[in-house]
This record gives sequence, C-alpha cells and structure tokens, in this order.
Amino acid sequence: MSAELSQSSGARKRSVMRGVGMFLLIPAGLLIAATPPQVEKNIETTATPRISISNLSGKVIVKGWDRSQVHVNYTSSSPQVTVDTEEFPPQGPVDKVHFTTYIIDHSTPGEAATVDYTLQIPAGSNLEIRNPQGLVQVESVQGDTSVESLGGNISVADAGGHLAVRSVGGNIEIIRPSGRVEAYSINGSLHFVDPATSRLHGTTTSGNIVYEGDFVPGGDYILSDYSGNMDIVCPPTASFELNAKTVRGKVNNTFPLVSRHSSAPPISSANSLFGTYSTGKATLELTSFSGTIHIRQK
Amino acid sequence: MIEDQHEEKLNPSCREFQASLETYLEGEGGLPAHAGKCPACGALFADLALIRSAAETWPLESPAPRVWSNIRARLETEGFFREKEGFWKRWMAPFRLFPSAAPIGALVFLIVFAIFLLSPGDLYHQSKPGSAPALVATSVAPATLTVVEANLVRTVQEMEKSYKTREAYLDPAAKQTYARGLTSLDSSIRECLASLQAQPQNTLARRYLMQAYSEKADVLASALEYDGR
Repeated sequence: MSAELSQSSGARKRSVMRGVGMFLLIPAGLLIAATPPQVEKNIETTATPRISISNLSGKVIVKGWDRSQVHVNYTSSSPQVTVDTEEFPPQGPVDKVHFTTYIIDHSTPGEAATVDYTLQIPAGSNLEIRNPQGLVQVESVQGDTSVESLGGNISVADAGGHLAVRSVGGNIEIIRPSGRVEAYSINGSLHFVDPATSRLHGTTTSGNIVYEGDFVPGGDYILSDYSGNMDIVCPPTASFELNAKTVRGKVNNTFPLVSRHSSAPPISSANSLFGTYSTGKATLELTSFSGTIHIRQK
Repeated sequence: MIEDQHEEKLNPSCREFQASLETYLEGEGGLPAHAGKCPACGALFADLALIRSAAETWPLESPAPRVWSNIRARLETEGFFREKEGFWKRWMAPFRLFPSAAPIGALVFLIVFAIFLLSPGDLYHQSKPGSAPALVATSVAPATLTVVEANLVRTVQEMEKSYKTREAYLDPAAKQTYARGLTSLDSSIRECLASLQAQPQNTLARRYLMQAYSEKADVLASALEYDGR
C-alpha cells in the first residue's frame, strides 16, 4: 500500500515537473525566436581593399587593423532585414567588399530596419559608408574614407587618407586626421581634435565649430559657419595668418596679431580681423554670418 | 551505374544521339531509332523527356527581392548600368574628373555656383533689378540678383515643389531631419536677403546667400532621391 502511494506521489511529481518544464519552454522558445539574427564572418582581402557599407539605420563601427582580413559582425533587428555581402573577385584575396542592408519584406516599418555593424578592416582600406540614421564610428583607417549620414552622428579618429564626411543633421567629430579633411553639416556641429593635416575644410549652417590643436606649417584651414559659434583653441606655439570675417557676428581673439606686411596693427573692425601670429606659417580662414568667432590659446 | 559504364564506352551512334538530344527534346523530329535500340540512351531520353514535361507544370515563382538586388549589383559591377549614387557623391563626381551619369540639373547647379564663386564682381554688374523671383520669405523684398543667381534660385524653387509632393512618403525620422535642415537654410536665406537689401555690396552676405541656396539644392536633391539609404 505504502509502495503504491509512493509510486503515485512520484508520478504526480514527474507530471508537475513536466508541466513546469513545458511552461518554461514556451517563453524560452519565444525568447530565442525574438533574439536578433547575428552574423559573424571573416573575409581574406588584399592589404588595400575597397570596402563599402550601405546601411539603412543602426550603428556602424569600423576599426582598422594590421591584418589583410575583414572581420564583420552584424546584428539585424528583424528577420525581415538582411545583409548582402558581395566580394570581388570571387576567388582569392578580395579587393572589393560591399555590405548592403536590404528589407526583404517592404511592409517592415522603417524603425525596425536596423542593422548594427562592427568591422575590423585592413588599415590600408579605402572605406565608404552610407548610414542615414545611426551612429558611425571609424578608427585607424589609412586609406580614403567617405562617410554620409542624414541624421546620425559621425566620429572618425586617426584617419590617414582623404576624409570626406557629410551629414544633414548629425554632429561630426574628427580626431587626429592626417590626410585632407572635408566635413559638411547643415544642423550638426563640427569638432576637430588635434588635426595633423595640412588641408582642412569644415562647413556647417546652424551648428558650432570647435577646433582644438595646432596647425601644420604651410597648411590651409577653412572653417565656415552661419549662425553657430566658432571656437579655435590652439597652443601659444602656433604660427598662422588669420583672416576672420563675419557679416553680423563678432570676432574675439586673444593672440597678439601683427600685420603681415608692416609693423602696423592688424586690420580689425567689429566683425573682421586680419593679421599674423608668429611667422604666419599656416593660413586660417574663418567666416561666420551671425555667430561669434573665438580664437584663443590653449 | 549503367550510365557510368555507357559513358566510358560511347559508340559513334550514341555520341550522335546525345549531340542531337536538344533537337529531339524540343519536339523537332520523332523518337530516334537509336533510343529504341540502346537501353542507356533510351533511359536517358525518357528521363529528360519526363523532366521536360514535368517542368511545364511547375508554377512560376517570383524570386525574392534580394535576388533581384544581387542581380542588379552584379550587373552594376560588370558595367551594364550604374546604380543611383548618393547625392554627395554625384556632386563630387565632376571633381573626380570622371564623366558620370550625374543628372544634368545637378551639374548645372555646380557650374552655376562655380561661375558665381569665380567671378562675383563681373556677374554683379550684369544684375537686372527686379529679376529675382519671389523667394522663401515673401515678407522680405528680394535683393537684386544676377541672372545666374536668379536661375539658381528658380531651380531650387522647382526642386522644392517636387520635394513637397514627395515629402509625405518619407519616413518620419528622415522627414524631420530634412525639415530641420531646410528650415535652417530658409532662415539663412531670409537673413542674407535682408542683409543684401541693406548692403547690396556686401560680398560676404552674397556668398552666404548663394552658399545657402547651393546647400538647399544639396538637401533637396538628397531628399528627392532618398530611398531609405
């Protein structure tokens, strides 16, 4: 009798355990199904491949490394959004790689069409990124780099080649560039940190511009904003010829400037300033319509 | 197995039969006598005929969009056509010295703007008072513009009309970003016009005005070709 009772109790326990197990399996299955698809792959390349990423929305993070290999990891927010990878040539080390985000089902809402990319690419790569909505971060790429965004912020560090960065609404941060730099935004701000380039051109309409660092002798630095303020912070050892103009703004300068051609004081008015600091090795052209231009020592 | 052995020792009749298989399968000519005599060739012919008739009943499936995308990308890389490029890239195309398929309108903008930048003084003297069209702010009397500048302004206005019809189809985030950009630029244009009204000789204000129009053209063109990327 007691053996029968014990058997019956054991069966009940097993039945309860099965029930609990099933109960736990359902949410676990749902969780697995809801986990965004993630893909990771390695592609053997030449030392200087061309790499393009055309995304719709999401983060794009790219870092240069010393291998002739692309390591890509991307996560799609929905199974209805996928990434096509194209490699050329199909055999041997790849010279061109294109990553393109596609919506398989066009009824997928735009906000769900998000793919986050993380790539390591050969440092000598030429890179092209289009990511309308979302952050772009690029680091240590020595080839030419082009980044376009609509509303996303862009940050590029230690770029060695020609750098062209454009955004309608996003902020742009460029750290330690050594190649030619072109940065344009309409509503976003521009921030240049320790540039080692001799050619830099930055334009924004309503954003601010901050330039922190020295100027390369013989370099040309052209910065223009419309209504935002401009802040140029450079070391006392800097050497530049300044041409700062505004229509309705102001120019504030803390460097002792002299006229280039004589010992006369620099030409100055309420909203313009022309003069030379030190030996005037670099050329600095700053314009603003209604913002204030500050030039000060670090 | 039979076919493997048969492959190894094909006689001239078999080779002739197999070379003409396509013609037979297309129904041009009756069943060749050889298929009746040679078991291997007969079996091969029967299999292929069965596949052919079965294939006729298969439904036509439309390939997934990504298949078309891949085909398109491959054709593009092989030079059969060029995929639509980003607006910035197209603007920069003339600087790369490569003749591209950039729309003529965009190129005209570039040339017009370049001419303006290169010879503002000369163009200024060609100005026709009152030739400028009504601009973004009707409350601000338009400044005197050169013919070239007025053409640029008109073209931007045409682009803006096209944008208005397309704006409703943009996704909300993109629409908001474009709207914010265009608002800033319209504000710049209004202020520059006011400055020029007060000081027609102010070349910096004029430069900002034309830069604002040029940037507005950039933003509008980008919005007009925006397809999610």
